[in-house]
Amino acid sequence: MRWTSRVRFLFLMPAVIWVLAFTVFPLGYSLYIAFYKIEQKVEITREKVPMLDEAGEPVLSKSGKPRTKNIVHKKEISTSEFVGGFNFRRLFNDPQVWSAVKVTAIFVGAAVPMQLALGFLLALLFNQHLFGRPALRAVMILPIFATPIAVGYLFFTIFYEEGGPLGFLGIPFLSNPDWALFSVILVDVWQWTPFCFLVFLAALQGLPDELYEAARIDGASAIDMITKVLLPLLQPTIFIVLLLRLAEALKLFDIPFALTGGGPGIATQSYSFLAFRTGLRFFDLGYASAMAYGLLIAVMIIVTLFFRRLRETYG
Amino acid sequence: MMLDLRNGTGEYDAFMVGAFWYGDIAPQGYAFEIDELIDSGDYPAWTYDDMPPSLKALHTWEGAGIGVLNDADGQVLYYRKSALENPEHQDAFKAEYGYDLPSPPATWQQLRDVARYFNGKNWDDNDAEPDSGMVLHLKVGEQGHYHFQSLSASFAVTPGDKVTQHHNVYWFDPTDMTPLINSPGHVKALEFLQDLHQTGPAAQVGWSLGEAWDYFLRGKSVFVFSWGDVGSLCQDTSRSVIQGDCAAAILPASDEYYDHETGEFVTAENPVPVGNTTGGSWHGVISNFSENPEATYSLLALMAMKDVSLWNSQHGWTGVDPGYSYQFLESQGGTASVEQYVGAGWDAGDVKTYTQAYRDTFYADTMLTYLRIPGTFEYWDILDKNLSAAMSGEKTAQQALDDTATAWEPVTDRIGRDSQLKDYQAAIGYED
Repeated sequence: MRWTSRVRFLFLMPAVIWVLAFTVFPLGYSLYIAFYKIEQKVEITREKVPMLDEAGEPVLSKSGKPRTKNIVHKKEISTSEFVGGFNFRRLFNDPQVWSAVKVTAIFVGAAVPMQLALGFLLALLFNQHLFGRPALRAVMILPIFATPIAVGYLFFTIFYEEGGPLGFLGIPFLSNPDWALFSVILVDVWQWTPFCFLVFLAALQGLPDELYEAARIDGASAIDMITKVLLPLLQPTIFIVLLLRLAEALKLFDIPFALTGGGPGIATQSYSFLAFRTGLRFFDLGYASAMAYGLLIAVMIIVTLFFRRLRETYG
Repeated sequence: MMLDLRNGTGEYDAFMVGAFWYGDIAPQGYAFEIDELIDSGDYPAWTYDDMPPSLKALHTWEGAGIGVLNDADGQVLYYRKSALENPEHQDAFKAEYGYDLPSPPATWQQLRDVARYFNGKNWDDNDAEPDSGMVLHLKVGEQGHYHFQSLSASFAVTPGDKVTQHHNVYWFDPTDMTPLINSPGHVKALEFLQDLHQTGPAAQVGWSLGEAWDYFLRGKSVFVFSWGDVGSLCQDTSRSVIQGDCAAAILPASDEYYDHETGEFVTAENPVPVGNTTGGSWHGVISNFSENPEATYSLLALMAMKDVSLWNSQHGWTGVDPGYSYQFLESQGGTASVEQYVGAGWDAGDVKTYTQAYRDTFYADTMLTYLRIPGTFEYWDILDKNLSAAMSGEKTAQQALDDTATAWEPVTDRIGRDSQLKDYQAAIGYED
């Protein structure tokens, strides 16, 4: 092989290093710590040594005393003990995990279909000739660009029950467990419906006009047009949007973090939120890794099923 | 902070810590001992003798000085004196409850009556809307569980001359680390807190400090029990309408408490309040990884000096609360004067009750023991979530505290029951 042929591997190297360093290694390491109990400690010893100038002479303070400096010696002590499937077994016996799974399932089950349905309806609307359509479309997609944490805090003020803009409704948006979860769903729908809308609109605008004309000539009503023409044609797009939203929604973290803190109680504590707290608040890293793998497996199963369905349908 | 210490990075010379972190940093040798620096006389002067014993205990570990004086945390009762001393309300209250309207309430049970009486009435002229009896900050993941700690101490701590298996204990049995958090005293206290919650806005289940304090400062509730910040924020007329009407007192006693030895409730003839150091008493601790502990200490000590410390505590936005002799009035055994506070914009009447409330709280004969063991944050987080579930009606008080106790056991086992027992005994001063 000539060097000019080999150089292509050189161009691939940054991507390969990136994937190895930031995907493969963390994945492998987190699996390792899920099976081991790792105790890490740093032993510290300190000593004071005289400060010397360039000539090797002691540096004196204003009072004439030799100045000293601190030297800190660190000795890392790390022990690891194989605990087998202990952390994975804990998953099944931890009521907080089951509650988080339930919260996440309700959230995904409610938010994602709402986003798809609303996004599709809005796309249908914007596929018509509307006055000011470009400007309205730009406004519609603005929520996508907002940081979820900022969105969480924004809605915290909107849902503020004593004097907030929606306070007059008398709805306990954040203080009632059921309403709090609904509020989280509402915020997520607000933020991600525009994404669904944008993709569906692009797909709709990619359909040839002849299809609409042919359907109209065949006497299709508006409902027929949607159910018998558009939805079947958009099915691959719907699958992809559904897949992307599912994968994202299963990782729900930012909005409950900022909006409700996971409460009241644990009414809005999602699975990722629980994993975050377990790992980075309580430093129970093995258990947090086991949780993360649980989520990874769930997402992989869903993605695999979806792709299998896609392949079966479209070859 | 913990990542820096656990990994030995040594990026930071010092940390502003809550005392509840000591269990995670002191036994591991991550904190630099400062006694020699204090004694050297080379740095800005302050001493541990300026602290009440209850606060000194939070700044030291096994006798060695670690923390530099800064903030002092403890919850006291704030109340609207004008409402409680209004003759019309006094008459109406007596007619309804059969006894004189207490100002301030001496027991939690009296306080609940007063809060119920005022709740829903428009008892002041700050606005035309009805006001509340009590406002609480109950948001999960924030400071809700501290309310429970301070309140339940009166119900769940069995007073005694010293710490024994049954006396002056609150968190765990000091002989085997069995959780006490679901004792009948704790359960009764949580039921009481659920009751008290009914005398305030329902939205407070999702409120953190800012919202609850703001509610009180806007004159919307008769009571709040919280930290020293409230007293100093009352004086900030840019956000408070109650300057001069913001009185304070040590938290009330309970007219019955649970005796852990006999397993029965005791009706107290003369209910005695229980003091607390609830919160973090946020202060500087020098990292043992620091290569410049002297310079770091010099800065922290500068902020601990009498004049700086007094100034900080007089201004609510600093977050520094009073508890040291510099901040107590001369009549309370301190060195400050009413004039110094008035010069900083305070109302003279408010100052006297405020500093007295903290004097009484930190020097109380019976104190709520402070949890300073590894995993404190995790124990508290479990408690916090269950309390929040109880306050929002998801769980009963018994269920919430039983669930807490059940979830604490594996934490103790995971960290190590024997080592936890040793640290817990050291932290609360228990001796076999």
